Amino acid sequence: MEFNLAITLEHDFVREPIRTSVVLNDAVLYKGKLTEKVLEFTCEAKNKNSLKIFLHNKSPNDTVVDKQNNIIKDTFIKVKAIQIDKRSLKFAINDLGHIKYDTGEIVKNITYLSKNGYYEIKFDLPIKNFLQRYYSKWDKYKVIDTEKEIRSIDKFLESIK
Amino acid sequence: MKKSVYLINLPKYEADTVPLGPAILQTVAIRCGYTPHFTDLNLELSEGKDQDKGMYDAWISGLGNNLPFSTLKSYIQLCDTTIKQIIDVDPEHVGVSFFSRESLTYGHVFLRRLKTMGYPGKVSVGGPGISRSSEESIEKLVDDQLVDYYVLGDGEVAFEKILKQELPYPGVNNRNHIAITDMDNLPLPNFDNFELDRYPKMFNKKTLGIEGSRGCVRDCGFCDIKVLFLKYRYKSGGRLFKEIMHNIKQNNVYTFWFTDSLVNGNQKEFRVMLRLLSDYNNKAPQDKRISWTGQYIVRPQKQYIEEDFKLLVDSGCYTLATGIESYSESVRKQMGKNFSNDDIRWFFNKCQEYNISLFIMMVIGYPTETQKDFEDTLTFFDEFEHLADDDTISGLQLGHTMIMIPGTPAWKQQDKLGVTYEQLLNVNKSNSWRNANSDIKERIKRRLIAQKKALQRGFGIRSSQDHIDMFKRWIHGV
Repeated sequence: MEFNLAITLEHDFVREPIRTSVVLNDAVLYKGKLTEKVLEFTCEAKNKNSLKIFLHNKSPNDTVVDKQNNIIKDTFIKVKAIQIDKRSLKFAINDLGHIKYDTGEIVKNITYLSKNGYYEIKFDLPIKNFLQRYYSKWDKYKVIDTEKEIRSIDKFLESIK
Repeated sequence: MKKSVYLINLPKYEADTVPLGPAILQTVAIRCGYTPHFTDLNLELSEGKDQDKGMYDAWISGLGNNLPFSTLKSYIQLCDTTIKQIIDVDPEHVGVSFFSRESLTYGHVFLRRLKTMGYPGKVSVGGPGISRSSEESIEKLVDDQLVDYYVLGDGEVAFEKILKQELPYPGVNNRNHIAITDMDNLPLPNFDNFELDRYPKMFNKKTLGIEGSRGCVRDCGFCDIKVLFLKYRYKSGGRLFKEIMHNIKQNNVYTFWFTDSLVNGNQKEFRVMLRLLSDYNNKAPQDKRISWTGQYIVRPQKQYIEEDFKLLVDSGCYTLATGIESYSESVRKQMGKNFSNDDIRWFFNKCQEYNISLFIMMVIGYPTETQKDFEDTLTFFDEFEHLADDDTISGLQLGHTMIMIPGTPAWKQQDKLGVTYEQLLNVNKSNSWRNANSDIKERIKRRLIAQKKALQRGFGIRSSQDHIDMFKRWIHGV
């Protein structure tokens, strides 16, 4: 079974165009210069998936700062959005994602790659079920037992035929 | 008798946020030299409804005058306790706010108890529930000597005139009310006597109501806002920003619920406010950032600029409640909603892109809604299933089905729409209408089929059980 994946990235560079890889599970979906804002793929679906987005070629000189140490230009990748079968992962890209730098440092709940390393998010498919589990903690209107609700509606509709 | 005013907020409506009207009247009272006091009976009663089945049923079903005995008993006890407090305070004036039409029943009980228990001072009533009530029911309050003054329409100036005894004034004990057009000079609210911690919170933060406009730029067939507010009026973006800053300073609250029928009635002033809020938020630390929600109209795509969505996000907009009403373009057109299904698609995609969540409101069984139109509406749930999944559409409300509210455009066109009324036990007249397209049974059926479809597609919607209980009572009399 396949699914559609769309990744929206914000990126910029100082010295040379960013080299990136996009890896789903063990499959490299894309490797090369990052020029597009949106990368789209049709992928083989597994129940459990890991998506990684790499920044390969940043050097220490690739962050330009002013006299007050404010960054005025940087080489970076920021994961702006991930869509799976038209469903946006929205806040989950922060909540469930993390960054692992080549130094071994792991930073949770961010999507901004400012050093060489990768951003990773794990998700299950079908994405509908994955998102329902994720949002069930948020939404006061979500009905917990949908099947029971539908049975109750059917019974009432039957009674007024 | 002390120079004080005791304000009462009546049941019943969903106590989603702190009532704004009494807070503004507190400022008016202070300006007139009175010390204000306040009790929110709606809050008191709503807090108890989960433990009282009769109360809960009354709360959700709109029983109007038919309050069940157990509910009446609990409510009278609550009234008596409050009236004892009022008599202890010994105010010169009691002001009673009727927010909804259903407040009339609760108001009658309260006012009768107030008189029976010997409160000697003046009593005035006002609020949307009074403005929406029939002439006879308001006159009855006066005839029964339960009130000295009733106020129709905007209450700020009228209440001041009553307290200062500068009468007559349009809308006070007469039906000649006028709309306040200078919204920027309305008093700022004063929440001093409010127990803010007891009210529902948005995003787990204390939340205050704020009003940016009155009335609506549209005149939708099912809606009585135009009757209530006469014409559309709005505060400037600068004034609204000032009011938000005032609320932050006075109450340390950063989350706001716009009580308007629509926040974007005046695009120009709305953008001014969004820019001011965005500038503030962009400089503020995380815990001092403003967030807000409100009702919003979808406009045709050509009326937007790309900056609109960035401004919504940066200003702290979290959820927009928007009335799509029907996914049949012809029904929406007959309602007076001037946007296409393509406009909806475009707008929803933008909201998904910018992480703005939507609360969608629909009306099932508009008088012109045919079976085919209803089926078109059902396709909404298929087409936007993905947006329900990813929480772009975070909630959905299907309502009680179409209500024929007196004064609305649909009500005015009853003859043209072939509307007649059935005499049904347990059903208000406004719900018991029928025409060639539907009767109450058909509308209930469509309403529940829509609910089922929404559930199957994963839309966030309140349990149908409350509505099924109410519909059973309605159907019982058919």
